[in-house]
Amino acid sequence: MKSSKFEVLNQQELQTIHQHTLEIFEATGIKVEVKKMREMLADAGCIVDEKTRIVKFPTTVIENYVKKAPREFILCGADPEVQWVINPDTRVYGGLGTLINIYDLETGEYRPTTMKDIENHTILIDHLDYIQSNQMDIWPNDIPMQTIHCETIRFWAKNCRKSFGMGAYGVLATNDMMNMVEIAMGGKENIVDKHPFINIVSIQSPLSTAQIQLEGLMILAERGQPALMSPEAMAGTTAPVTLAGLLVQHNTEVLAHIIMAQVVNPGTPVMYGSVSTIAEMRRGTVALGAVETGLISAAATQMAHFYDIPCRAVAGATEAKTYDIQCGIERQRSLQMVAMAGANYITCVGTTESTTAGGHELTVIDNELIGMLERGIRGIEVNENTLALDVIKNVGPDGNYLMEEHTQKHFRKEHFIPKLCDRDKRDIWEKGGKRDMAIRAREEALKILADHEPRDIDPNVARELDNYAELVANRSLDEFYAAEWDA
Amino acid sequence: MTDSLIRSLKDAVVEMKIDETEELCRKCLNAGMKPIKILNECLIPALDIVGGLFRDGDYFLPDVLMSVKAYNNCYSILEPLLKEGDYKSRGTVLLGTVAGDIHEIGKDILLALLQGNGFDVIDLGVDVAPDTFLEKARETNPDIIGMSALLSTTMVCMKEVIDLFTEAGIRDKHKFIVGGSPLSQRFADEIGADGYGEDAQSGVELAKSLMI
Repeated sequence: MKSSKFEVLNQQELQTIHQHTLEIFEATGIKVEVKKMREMLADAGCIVDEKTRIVKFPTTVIENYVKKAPREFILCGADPEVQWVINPDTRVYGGLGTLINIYDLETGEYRPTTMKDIENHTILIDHLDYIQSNQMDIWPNDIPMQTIHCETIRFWAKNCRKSFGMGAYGVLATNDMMNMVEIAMGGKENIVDKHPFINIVSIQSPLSTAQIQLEGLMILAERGQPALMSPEAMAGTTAPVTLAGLLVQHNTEVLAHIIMAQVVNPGTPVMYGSVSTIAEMRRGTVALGAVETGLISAAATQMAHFYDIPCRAVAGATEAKTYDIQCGIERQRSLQMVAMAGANYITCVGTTESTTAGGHELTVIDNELIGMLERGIRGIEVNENTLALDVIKNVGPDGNYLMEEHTQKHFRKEHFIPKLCDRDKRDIWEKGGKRDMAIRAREEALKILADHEPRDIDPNVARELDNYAELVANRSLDEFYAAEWDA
Repeated sequence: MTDSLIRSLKDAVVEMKIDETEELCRKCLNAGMKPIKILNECLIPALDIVGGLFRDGDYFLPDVLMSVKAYNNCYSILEPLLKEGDYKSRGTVLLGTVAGDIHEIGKDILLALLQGNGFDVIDLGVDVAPDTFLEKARETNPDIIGMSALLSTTMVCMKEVIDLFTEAGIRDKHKFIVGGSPLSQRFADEIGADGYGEDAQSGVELAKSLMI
């Protein structure tokens, strides 16, 4: 059978959190920072206070609109033939984190990230077997901020067959992103039934909205493109210190955003996200590598599935600064808890320092770690063939199985074969230069980068992408601010 | 016709299609090809390809062993037909797991890989007493004598074997190679062995280097 799921809430507890969520919606409401959205919510039956911008949601509105969110959508790559089904039963993995510092792959130096880093990262994702998506994984420091979205999408379209995504950064940038994705995919009709681009919508905890993120969400919904609702509430600072209390607040925040997307455009694909965690109680900072983050993510997964919506959860995150044992423990533990909980879109491979730093070696290592976890989740297959009764009889006492055809036929499927884990004897390891896993991962990353070839895309599409990027490069930052709607 | 047969047989060995290899080997003979040509232009190059795939990490032990099995099936068809002097093996290796030890998986892997690399191998099995090594060596005159042990308590027996050959005055007639989990190069040097292999593949490389 498949390995059993990791669950942290029973049915009654899920119901209780749901009921308490309804109460918070009705009694406290959430603050909605975009006037246009408040008007639409009022039309949908919510109670709006224009002065405080607080919107209260009656239970009927919640019930009506949450169920409009689809159970499933198709994620595709820049190559439209590369596809994944996203629903509560499937699982894909991605980056995400917006690193601002990175360990240089060649020199090992810790330094600010550059455009070249996100290019290399995008190429790695293209080649790694167990990672299906880039998100806004690296934030380049060496190009103007207002061009980052266009430069990265342009590079992705030309180099990566897998999917991409960024944050929903306000009206103009979100429209740019959607326009460029349409160009890359050869027209807006090509992103109706399948979606190559997932936008993350950050939520302001407790119980509020970030204006530019909400505007971005509204644009995505208008265009029918997937949005990932992602609060990062911290138990003890921006959420109750108790995990159950955090979950009630978190659930309210996520559902409010899902409802807003459905109010704008019923049927908009969404994911129930979770980056919520605990606060570090000495400094009030975030603790993504904490074991409680795994518990919260598992609970969020269960809540998402309670509403029959796919879940995105944070994992692979750590507060470690180097590739040390803490780094290994925290990424492994969180990835395992979240994957075994059944989350459907699992981020943030390749990161350290609460996802603000990282390295390409870690992306390659996480890929292998995910391969192992997926093997673990697949469990033990029991049938006539795998029980191998005939083989046991044939080999008999004192024999060996290495030369059996049964062994050759099955070992690749039954055993996960690691590329980076070292299982050699010490002598061989010493002869090979005593390389540790990070060094082996670095070599693998360098090899992938050296062997990569750009995609063969239509020259007209490439030219259109270049033209669009140029148009954005000539725009001033003020134009972005001027495009915002009324708060 | 014969070219395509040769290619098919070579592919079949590389792709571990055991049933097909025997049939293809007979077809080659029926088409009038000389046994030595089948061996040199097809079977040995096939094992070279397999060796390359193993080195590159694409093939694993079960794959190599299946290919060697396919090779051995064909070789046993060809062997009686080969003329004297037609074919020269790379060397003869006498293999055994030393007295007190019955762990033979490592030795068996080496055996198959040596066969796949053109060595003639005589297998003495497990729990082999020093006297038996001496007796069989006199009988078969191997180029190399390989000893294995998995237990740190039995590996000392390897020294007894080499000492016995020294007393008998025939130590230098053979090269001694040793291998097994608790061993090291240092141990091999201490007992006066000619070489140490960390694993089966290194054992093959070692045997090849000792034959030069």
